[in-house]
Amino acid sequence: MVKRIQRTFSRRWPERFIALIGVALLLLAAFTMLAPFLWMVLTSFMDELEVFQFPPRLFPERWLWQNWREALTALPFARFFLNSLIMSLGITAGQLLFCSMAGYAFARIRFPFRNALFLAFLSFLMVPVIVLLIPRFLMVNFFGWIDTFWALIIPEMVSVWGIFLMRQFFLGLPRDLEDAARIDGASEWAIYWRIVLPLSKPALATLGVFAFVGSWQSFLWPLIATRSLYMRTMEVGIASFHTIYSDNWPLQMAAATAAVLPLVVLFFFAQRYFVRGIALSGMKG
Amino acid sequence: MSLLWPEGKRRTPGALPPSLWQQVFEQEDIWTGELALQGARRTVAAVPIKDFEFWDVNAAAVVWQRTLHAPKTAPWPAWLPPLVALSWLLALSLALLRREMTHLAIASKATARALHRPVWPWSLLALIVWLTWAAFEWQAARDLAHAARQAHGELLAAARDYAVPIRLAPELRAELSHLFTVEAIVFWSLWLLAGLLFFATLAIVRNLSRPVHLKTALTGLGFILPSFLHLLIFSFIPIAFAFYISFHIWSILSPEKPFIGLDNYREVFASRDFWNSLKNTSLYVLHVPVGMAVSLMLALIMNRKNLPGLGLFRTLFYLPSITSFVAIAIVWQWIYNPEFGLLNYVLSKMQLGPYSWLNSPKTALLSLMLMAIWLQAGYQMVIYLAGLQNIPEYLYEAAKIDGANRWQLFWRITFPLLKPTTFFILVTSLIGSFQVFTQIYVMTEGGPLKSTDVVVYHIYKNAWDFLRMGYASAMSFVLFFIIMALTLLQFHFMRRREVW
Repeated sequence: MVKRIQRTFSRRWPERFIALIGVALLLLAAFTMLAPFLWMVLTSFMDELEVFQFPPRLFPERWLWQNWREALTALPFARFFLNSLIMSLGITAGQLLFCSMAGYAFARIRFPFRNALFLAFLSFLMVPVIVLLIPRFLMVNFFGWIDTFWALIIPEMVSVWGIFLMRQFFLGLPRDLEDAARIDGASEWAIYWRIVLPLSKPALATLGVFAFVGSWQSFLWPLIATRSLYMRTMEVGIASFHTIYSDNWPLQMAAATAAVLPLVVLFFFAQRYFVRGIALSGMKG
Repeated sequence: MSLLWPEGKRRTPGALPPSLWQQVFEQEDIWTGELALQGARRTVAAVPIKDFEFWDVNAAAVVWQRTLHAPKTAPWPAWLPPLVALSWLLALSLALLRREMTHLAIASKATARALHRPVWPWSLLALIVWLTWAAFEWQAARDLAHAARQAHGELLAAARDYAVPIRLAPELRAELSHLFTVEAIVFWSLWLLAGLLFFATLAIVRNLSRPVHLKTALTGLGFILPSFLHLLIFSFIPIAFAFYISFHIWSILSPEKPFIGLDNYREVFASRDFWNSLKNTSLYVLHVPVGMAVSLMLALIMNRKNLPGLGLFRTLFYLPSITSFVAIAIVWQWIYNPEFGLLNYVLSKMQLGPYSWLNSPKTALLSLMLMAIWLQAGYQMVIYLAGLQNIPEYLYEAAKIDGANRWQLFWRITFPLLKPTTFFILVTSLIGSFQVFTQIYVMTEGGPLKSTDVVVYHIYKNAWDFLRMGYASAMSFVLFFIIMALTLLQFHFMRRREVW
């Protein structure tokens, strides 16, 4: 009996101890993740000079809501937001359509050079953006698209990663429904549009969320492809705000919070699609 | 390399012969010729050093080559090794093609073996010969590059008081070009072409051996068509175009775009700034393994069934990688503020610091690396978590019955089975980190003292601030090859991912 208690105790207490340390580490890490965001929000309400003191104040003395008004009216942020939204929605729509079409063909339809073409498509995954940057800029300039939404949207409308993701998903779908439709004489397009697409809403949602966030975060291309202030996207707009108000940290923090907020809201609603995207993109083992 | 100055001027380590001085003075340009120097006749280049207004020649720097240890030229003509290597490649491809076709014809194994005659012995010899030659060339080019760099540096040091255009002596430039001879380029292009032809033939043979249903084929190609056209117009043509640009002096402002051959590539490899940016980038990507260790640890802690608030933690950790990168860069710049920043405050509570973070060339890159770890930890952790949850529980139970402790469980089961996940994260994060731009643009602009000047930022700077798009394209191709190597490595390992 004593022996048994002893054994249980000696086996249990290191487990408990390790678990406790783990949770403590986890909490610490979570705090580290959160602290910059918290400080950003708190600083955005402070007075311009209040931030220049050591030790820094954690909470503002008075909550200055006008910081926000001032920051968001200093540059046309509403317009930036609209630009980002149009760009991201356009890119997302294009990727959803084209990537699912190509992914469906690669997964289901037999045609010559299918595997060779798929490999050729995949090989574009290793092209770094910077190689494409200069020629794309020159081409877009030649088309006269600089400073238009065409320049922002069209070069990103197809993503090889998206095609790969959709193909992986379609490969996992059961063929029975399609075959039934095929026997009934449905065309490939009807099968794709009426049967496969409605079945693949989760994959489409995943691709859509990734495409949206990815294009919202893109910085280098919008920086180059737009010239006038009214065509800047949120990211580029925030960066130029940063250069203009380089000493006024509360205003910068307010602008930064405004840039972070839409994405955070989106993330909280679409969280599970992010996790699924990771599982779908070949990491499931 | 040595510096000579005309008599009567300041700082005179040695006298320049009057005749040479006269020539340099009149020509006002780089003079090359033979000269008796330090007891031997040498081929030298004299570079005039002009005054601040580029008006008067004040001094001249004389550059000559040091004796090289390696022979300058190979003992056989330059076209021989490529030819040998090419024939070797051709023979190999033919043999492989033959084997493939035999397989397609469902021949017996014996026939296949008979057809697949060994081409190895003499082709291997050719390869060794070629490699030796290449090594000699490489050594010579490296010595010369070193000499040129040193010459450049000494010139800079000597001419500190003058604003002078410093150029390398023409001989040195010519010598550097050994790496980029016409033969070498032809050789590599032929190699590439042969490989492409080989795969094309293979694909055609394979596809034509199957019956093709025309309507289905056309439908399939129709489904692909939009993506295909898009990739052609916005990815393939731009790559070819960038390659074309990289052989020219290309500025959007000037209508003339002269062809300069491989000069851009030569300049890239001789440029200190480019090597500096490459060095910075290589240092920067070292944060990836460190960050991965952190994420793995977090994922291990979180991989418990009864952990309360798991979803919340996961959300929190994932948050940085989906928010606005520019906003995060701004916030971290404020956190890194040496006087009023949060980080120095927290460190001062632990009796550490203050550090100047982004303001000092010693710590700027390190600060960016720390931030990158923070930024990517969540993404990496979520992938690790997915990998951990795929490890079957019975393996652990079996090991526990055999008396394994936690340490052994981790090193003998968890870690080996996570190898594909680890490799995937490592390569994707490396590829991403090699292309870091936004943080640099917002936080440091490459400074202080170019200590955070990474490759992509350097390329951007050259293309859009200095309007040197040809040179920038040449640099981007160097980055392209690095990333291509990483991606190929990933494909290679992904294909043979072990399944338990």
